[in-house]
Amino acid sequence: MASAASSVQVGKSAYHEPGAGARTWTWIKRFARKRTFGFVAGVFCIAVVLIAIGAAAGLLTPYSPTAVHGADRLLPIGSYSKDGARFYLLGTDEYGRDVFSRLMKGAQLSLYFSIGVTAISMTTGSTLGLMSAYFGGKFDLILQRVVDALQTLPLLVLAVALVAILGAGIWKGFWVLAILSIPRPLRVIRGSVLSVREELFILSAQSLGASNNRVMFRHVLPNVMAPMIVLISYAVAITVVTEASLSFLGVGAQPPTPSWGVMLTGSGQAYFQTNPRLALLPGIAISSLVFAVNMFGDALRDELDPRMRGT
Amino acid sequence: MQRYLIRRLVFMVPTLIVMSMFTFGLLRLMPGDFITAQMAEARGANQEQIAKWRVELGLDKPAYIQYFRWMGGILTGDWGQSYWQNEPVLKVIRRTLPTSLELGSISIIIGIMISVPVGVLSAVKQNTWMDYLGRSISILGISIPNFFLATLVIIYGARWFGWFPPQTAQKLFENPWGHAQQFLPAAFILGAALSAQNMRLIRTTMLETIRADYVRTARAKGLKESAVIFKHAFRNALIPVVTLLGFQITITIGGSVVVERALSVSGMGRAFIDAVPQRDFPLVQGILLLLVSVTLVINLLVDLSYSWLDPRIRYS
Repeated sequence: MASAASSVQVGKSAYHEPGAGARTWTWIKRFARKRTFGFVAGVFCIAVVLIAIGAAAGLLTPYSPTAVHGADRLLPIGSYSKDGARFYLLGTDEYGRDVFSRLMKGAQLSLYFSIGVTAISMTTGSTLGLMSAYFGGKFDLILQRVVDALQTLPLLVLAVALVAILGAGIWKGFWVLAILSIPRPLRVIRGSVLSVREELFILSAQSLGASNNRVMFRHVLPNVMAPMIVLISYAVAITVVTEASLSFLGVGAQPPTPSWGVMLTGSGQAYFQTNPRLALLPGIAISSLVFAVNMFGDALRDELDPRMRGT
Repeated sequence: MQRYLIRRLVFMVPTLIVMSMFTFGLLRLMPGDFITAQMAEARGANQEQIAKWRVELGLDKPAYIQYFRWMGGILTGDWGQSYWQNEPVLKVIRRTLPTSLELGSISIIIGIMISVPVGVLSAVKQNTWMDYLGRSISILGISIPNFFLATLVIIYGARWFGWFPPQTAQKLFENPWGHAQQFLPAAFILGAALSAQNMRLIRTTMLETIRADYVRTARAKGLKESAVIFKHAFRNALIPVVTLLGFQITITIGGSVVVERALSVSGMGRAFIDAVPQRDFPLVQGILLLLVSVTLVINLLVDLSYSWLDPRIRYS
């Protein structure tokens, strides 16, 4: 069995080796041609990731996102500071902070937050869902009751209660959201695994003597990848929105942290009559990122799901 | 069917008990209680009086005694007294629940009115401009946070139409116009988000059923296209949609916190979010328990609706 497996491996790598890079390139070109909209959305997502990395390295924030300049309060888009030393591309907020720098830094925070929450909830949720469906029995029964109980309360309501216990703050909100986001992938992956488990190739792998771990991660997992991609793109998107909602309710990131949610709800709410740009800019940033992630995820799903080929 | 119903109802009891302990424990884990929350604003209060107050509220007793007192009250129809609002919890709920129910049902109706036609059309005319437009709008609906949409409504409502959300509760029969001004924007904002999720699901499931053999049979026997789509394909696409709708009902009742706060609608979500920082234990517990019960009942109704939608599904 070992030799059979290794010979398959050799055959596969020999097939891939000569043009793996070229094949990827062809695939990308085909993806761009067939699903232009999704491709553009994907490019946008990558751009936001680059912005976040740039902001983390201090490259894209011309001025400190939290530095207060009393003389430069509420300057309009594209104006110079009173002493002429600084140029504010997107103006300043009510404390004279550079809105552009805050937006860039906010991209970093939103991405850390959403990618982190998604990574934790998806790995834990799908592993537990996989095990729950694969082993069944008491483990499954008890775990599902816990999930049932967690799902009887709306996520935002639970998050508010939990944050009240732990105290407000973005990283506490992070862990609360990460844990509360586990049930969804757990449920969906469990459902998909329940049907894959009954397939013949699982039985044949088991009768060849493959260990449970091998069957679960090498045979079952690849077959539930399509719903997983949709779940991931949905989770990244919804977390960006939830983080902002938590800030709006006063239990997420706290001022002066330059989170998009804080910007939208703090100065955005206070000055929307006179300076609507303070609410519009972070709002557009949130909406366009979420829109792009969803579009990209959908296109990727359509491309990878064999049943959707040719559509 | 009857046995199934009884079994489901019996199974609700342990879930309710566990969830009551969970919500009770959750509140006791929060730092501070009602009195410390009040004292944050009244420094240097008399320690003796504080202790007396705590005894009056029963907060000096161990947690398990407080729990049994609370549960005993629930069973006898006394949900306790809200510390902060200083009136019975049931009275607060009776005041705020109708608002939440009204907001929830209007927004769900709006959600269905948008999502069903757009979702069905987008599946029937797959890969046409109508499909792309419908899908883009639906994803846009998920992308815009509720409170941002609420902010936009307030900004541009005021700028272009000189409209401001009424700050106080407007009664339907005393001031129908003010009432509509208060509810409709909020309901539209919630409904837009709901319709976005529904629409995507309806499209996906319709795409599957529309290719099913019985739909081809229905066409072959010469039925009108509208009958094929709505009587044969759509009805069979409804099961996942009803499941999602069940989730949405509970979410709109309890989770419309954000919109309620942004547009100053005082429903149950807002009562909850205001009660948490005050450590108003009886009110928070009461609202959470009500939400859990409503969710359990709605989940049951959703399961029962399956056998109505698809007569092959029978419960025994």
